[in-house]
Amino acid sequence: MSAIVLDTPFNAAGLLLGDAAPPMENDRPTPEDEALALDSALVARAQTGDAKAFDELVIKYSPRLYGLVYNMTSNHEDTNDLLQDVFAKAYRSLKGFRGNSKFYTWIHSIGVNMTINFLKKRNRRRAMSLDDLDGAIQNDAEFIELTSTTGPVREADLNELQQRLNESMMKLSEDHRAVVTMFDIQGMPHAEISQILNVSEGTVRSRLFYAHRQLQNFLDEFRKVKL
Amino acid sequence: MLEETDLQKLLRLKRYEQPPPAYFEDFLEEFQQRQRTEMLRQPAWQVAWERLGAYVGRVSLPRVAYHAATAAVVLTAGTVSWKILESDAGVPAVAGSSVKSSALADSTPVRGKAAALVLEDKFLSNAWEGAQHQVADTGSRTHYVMDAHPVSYEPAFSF
Repeated sequence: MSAIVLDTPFNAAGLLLGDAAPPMENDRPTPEDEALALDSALVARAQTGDAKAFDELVIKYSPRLYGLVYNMTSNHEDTNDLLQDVFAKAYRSLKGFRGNSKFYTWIHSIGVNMTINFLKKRNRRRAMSLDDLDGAIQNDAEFIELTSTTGPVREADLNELQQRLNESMMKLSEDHRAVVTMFDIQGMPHAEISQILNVSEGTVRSRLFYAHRQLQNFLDEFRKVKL
Repeated sequence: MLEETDLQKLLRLKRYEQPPPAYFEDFLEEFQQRQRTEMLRQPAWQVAWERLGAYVGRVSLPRVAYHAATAAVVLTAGTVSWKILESDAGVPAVAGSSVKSSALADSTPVRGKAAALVLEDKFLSNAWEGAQHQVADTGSRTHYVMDAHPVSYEPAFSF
């Protein structure tokens, strides 16, 4: 059998030698990578004094930070004031942000720390000022499951149970409330929470375990009283 | 007791506790207003300094250029200061700002003779460099004594 002589050198993949290989699926930036890149660009612009860039960061992160602060304070007015302070502090401290962590982690750290300090300074518990439940809850799968005929909660009781849950949350310590808010309500992974709070993942897990037990006990007292 | 899974479902439903729809737009406006108010409270020099820093950050010159410029300014200032101090060291220190002149005790005509001037002055002028200087020590403080009249003091004509 005669050897096949090629005029042009091809590699085994059928590409001309010297050509770049086609991008593999794993090389394409993920949505998370793109989000991080966008944040880095906005932060860099904001650090040079570009106020519009910082405004974009405010627009992007205010809903999440609102949720964090609100669920720790259970008070809409306090949340609004605190959130203003959080972003003001972030703006003043922005030049010191070196990019060693994600901006997301950094600003959440500021939010959590300022909220915890605020709650510790406030000696007596303030009345709750709760936001209304968004109508979209009706379409939530877990809501439907919970309030189905075979579920543990009747829909009529759900509002009251939510109220009791909020009261129970306020009975937790600030540190335990923070981990419950970030993990259970906002869906953050343990690793991210540990970076924000600057504690180990083990500490995050143990705080969560303890907080869940406390909440179950508080709600159980409510259910016993109701019966 | 409420199962942990049911507890976690209840907790997740708290995500639906939301502020009114326009809240976050108003929030940004309130934040911008607050930033403007804080800026107005700052002293003018601080605002100018921050704006200078922002301008410098926008101009894409290499950092080393700014460091070099700062070093050059510091070096120049240091050299000038050193030269002033050095020229001060060759001349005795003087105090006060008034200039006194005292005529010689004898009645020797001024022309052709050195007149002594006692200067009490804080700053020395470089214009006196060519003059002959003599230090008169008065004990408590040194004086700067001029041997010769400056040319401008000599009368243009004599009788």
